[in-house]
Amino acid sequence: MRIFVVSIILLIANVLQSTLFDIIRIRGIGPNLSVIIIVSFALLRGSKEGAIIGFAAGLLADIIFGVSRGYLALIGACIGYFCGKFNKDFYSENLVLPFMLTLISTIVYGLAVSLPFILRGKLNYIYFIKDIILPETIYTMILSIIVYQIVYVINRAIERNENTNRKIF
Amino acid sequence: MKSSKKKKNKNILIILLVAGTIGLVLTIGRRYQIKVIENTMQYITSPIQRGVNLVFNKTGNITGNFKDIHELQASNEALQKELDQLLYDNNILEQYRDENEKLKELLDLAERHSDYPSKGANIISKDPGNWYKVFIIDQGEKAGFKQDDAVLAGGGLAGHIIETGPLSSKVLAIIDDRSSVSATVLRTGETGILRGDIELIQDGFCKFEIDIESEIITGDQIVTSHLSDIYPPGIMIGVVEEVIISKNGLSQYAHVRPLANFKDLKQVLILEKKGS
Repeated sequence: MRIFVVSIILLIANVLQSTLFDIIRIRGIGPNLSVIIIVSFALLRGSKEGAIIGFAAGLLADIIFGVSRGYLALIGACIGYFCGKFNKDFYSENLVLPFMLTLISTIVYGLAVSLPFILRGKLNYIYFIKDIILPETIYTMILSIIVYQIVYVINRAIERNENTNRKIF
Repeated sequence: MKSSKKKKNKNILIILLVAGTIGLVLTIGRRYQIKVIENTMQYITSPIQRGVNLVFNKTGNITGNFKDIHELQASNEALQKELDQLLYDNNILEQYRDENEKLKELLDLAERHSDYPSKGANIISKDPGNWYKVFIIDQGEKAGFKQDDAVLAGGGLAGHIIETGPLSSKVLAIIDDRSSVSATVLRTGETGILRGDIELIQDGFCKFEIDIESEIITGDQIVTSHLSDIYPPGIMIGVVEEVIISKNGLSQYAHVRPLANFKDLKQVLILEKKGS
């Protein structure tokens, strides 16, 4: 059940991002929805599930749009794993922690994605940070406030469902 | 109990990392070479080269000034006459160009590339990230598309197919940082390499690298060259917007505005290769 719901969410997020979000780009920069989803699920469910969801989300993006497979999956798994570490000292109504973790994760994600450019000899790092990573981070953070609420509601619904199922058997 | 759970968590991360790395290693090498070593070497060698170049330029100027003043005056007069003639010719050619452009517009896009069978397709999604320009079209192997087919939009080259599935294909745009196209300046016939550049990707421009001696000017038309393996020759790519000579004076490049407008691209035309 949980696997099914989460994979549907990841698919919807990916489709939304590649179609509808093209309209809401500001000066060519769009938000990073998959990072928000990885961070919120990792926070709500812990390291193990965070890493798996991160890996799945990254692999999905890799397969759909990437040339090489596995790089975004690697980044996603790491982000999910380390955000899941904060699961213990986190209560669901706390909004500051997902906000801050989204900020850090988006920056890390951006830096990691820019690594292939540097290996290929595009060394204008200031441009990458100033014109791509920073606007993307701000946009993603604003969006994370909304998306986190949705993920929280969905997660609570799944948990309630799992509990009732357990009582029956 | 707690420590074993922790260990399990770590094992999962390690498994995922290894899986990711294997995928990466298997797929990364087939598109581009990594050349970080060459680039770091350039940081050491380029200042030396630049210094030597500077010294030679300065001393060359001083000795050259004393030579051949009379010759220069004579050639200046001759050139002035030639310039007048060329300006007149240029005016006439300008009119021809306008006429040609109007006639080209009257012809259909598909007719211009009638040598190659072409099919239309719609763009169904674009890369959500801010780094690359890859898009997906709604036709694949079933419509007869193959890897490396050229993709046109708005009357110019837009990219090529990098992967095909049964129902959709992945297209790498020419403004993507990983793309490079062998291209020719239509006016002079000189060839260079047209690359995508991450810093120009938001404006939708390409970077055209060409020999420093070549006389490329703003407004030159760029077409695909006969050297390319995957693109048929003579497809219009775009117009030179700006010519820039690099700081060390050893290379020049031009910013090219492609005819295809990547910001609101909806439909594309795919050229299928002959005989393959």
